[in-house]
Amino acid sequence: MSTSEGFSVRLDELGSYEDEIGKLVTEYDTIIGELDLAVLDDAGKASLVGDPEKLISTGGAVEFAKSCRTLIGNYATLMTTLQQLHEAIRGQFTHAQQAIGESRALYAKVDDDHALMFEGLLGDRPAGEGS
Amino acid sequence: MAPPDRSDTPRDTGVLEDAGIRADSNMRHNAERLASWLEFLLHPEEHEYDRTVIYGTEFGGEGHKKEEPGPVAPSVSDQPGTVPHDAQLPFESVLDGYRISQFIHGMSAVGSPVVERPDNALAPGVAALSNIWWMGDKRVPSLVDRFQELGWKGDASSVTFDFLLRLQTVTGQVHKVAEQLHDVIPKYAVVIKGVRHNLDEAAEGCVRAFEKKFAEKPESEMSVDWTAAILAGIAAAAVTYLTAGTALILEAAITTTWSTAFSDAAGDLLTPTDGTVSGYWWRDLAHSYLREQADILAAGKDEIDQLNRKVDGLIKYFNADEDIQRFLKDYGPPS
Repeated sequence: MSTSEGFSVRLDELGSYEDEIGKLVTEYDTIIGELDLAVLDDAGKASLVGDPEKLISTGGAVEFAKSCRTLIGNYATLMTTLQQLHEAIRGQFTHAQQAIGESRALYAKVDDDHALMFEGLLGDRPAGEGS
Repeated sequence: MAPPDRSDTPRDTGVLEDAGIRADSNMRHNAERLASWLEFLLHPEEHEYDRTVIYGTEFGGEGHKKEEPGPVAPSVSDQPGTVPHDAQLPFESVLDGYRISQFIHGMSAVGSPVVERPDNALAPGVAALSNIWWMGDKRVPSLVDRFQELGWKGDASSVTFDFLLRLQTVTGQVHKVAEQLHDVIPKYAVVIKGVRHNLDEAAEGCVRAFEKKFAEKPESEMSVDWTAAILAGIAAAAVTYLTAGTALILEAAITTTWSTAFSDAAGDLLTPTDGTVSGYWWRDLAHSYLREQADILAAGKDEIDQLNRKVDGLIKYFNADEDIQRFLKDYGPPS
């Protein structure tokens, strides 16, 4: 574990967490793929309600079909919005994954730089052999 | 039993095609049987059976009408020597003024929607919403909890944690929408299925009433029961089809997910009751059936309207949620 007055970090844990967010992003890929299929175009909407051309012009069947069309229309609107929201959520998790990856790389680099600095002071003696 | 000299299929099947009741529809068989009987009853000029005979016009009056089981010859004593041996009083159909399309137009409202097949257009939504719910309920909170166990401290850690908390808030808010919308979808399919079932059974009941009326000629009002499904209460039923899942539903599992959600919902929500077609005259039976048809459609419409109010409420909730809207404004598509 690297520590200082301002921060502490375990690089292996951070790397594992970065991988976990990557897995989550992949899961959001699946959700967005399903939302893409769930968003209804005109043909999709039409497949879920009665065909207006088949209905005689008045009566309960027309009213029933009209209610179905309203419901499916609102459902389609909501699914489209959910699709947009989840693309944004996936984008932000992707961003988080990248940021954590970059942080981890920077922490590792600081650690390496310090190691190099002190290796120079110690000469070529292997660490831990004493004086 | 088909009408005399006819089959269970109407001579003109165009009326069924016009109504959108396809050959592979579950309602097709009874729609055909009903249409065949209606064809028979609407065309007494094609047979020697039931008709409405118009009496009294031979004296120049407007006459009066009465249902008879067959043609009626004019009274010879009224017009001696002038009546041909094959003469009969004028007549019209026992269902004069009705059209076959009136009897099957309920079926046309539910004949074409594809909601029971597992590959229907609603199925991907059920899988997606189930996963959205799971993300907000389990997956993202678990990820955020784990962050606190990383042993990462400092300014960068704090900013990252705040960032993740914001994502947790948004996914948590949207998971509430997903939970409620997820239940609307199978309920819509169940209402369609229930209306189909009831219209199909009512048509079958009407055919049985016609058969009984024709064969038995009952001398008082008769009734025929049919098995209906109760439509009222489907939309408001306090059931949920989301459970504490442990894994993501993959695209390959969309159809099986739909089948499970739909069959569970149909099993829970469609409970049986009785419908009745009753009357004495042919017109009474027809009117009774048409009233049943109207009631089925009205009950179905009421359920659909309730579901729509729920979806409309979810849209309003979504649009009014500050966390979601701020997130969409910051990171969503350009408006």
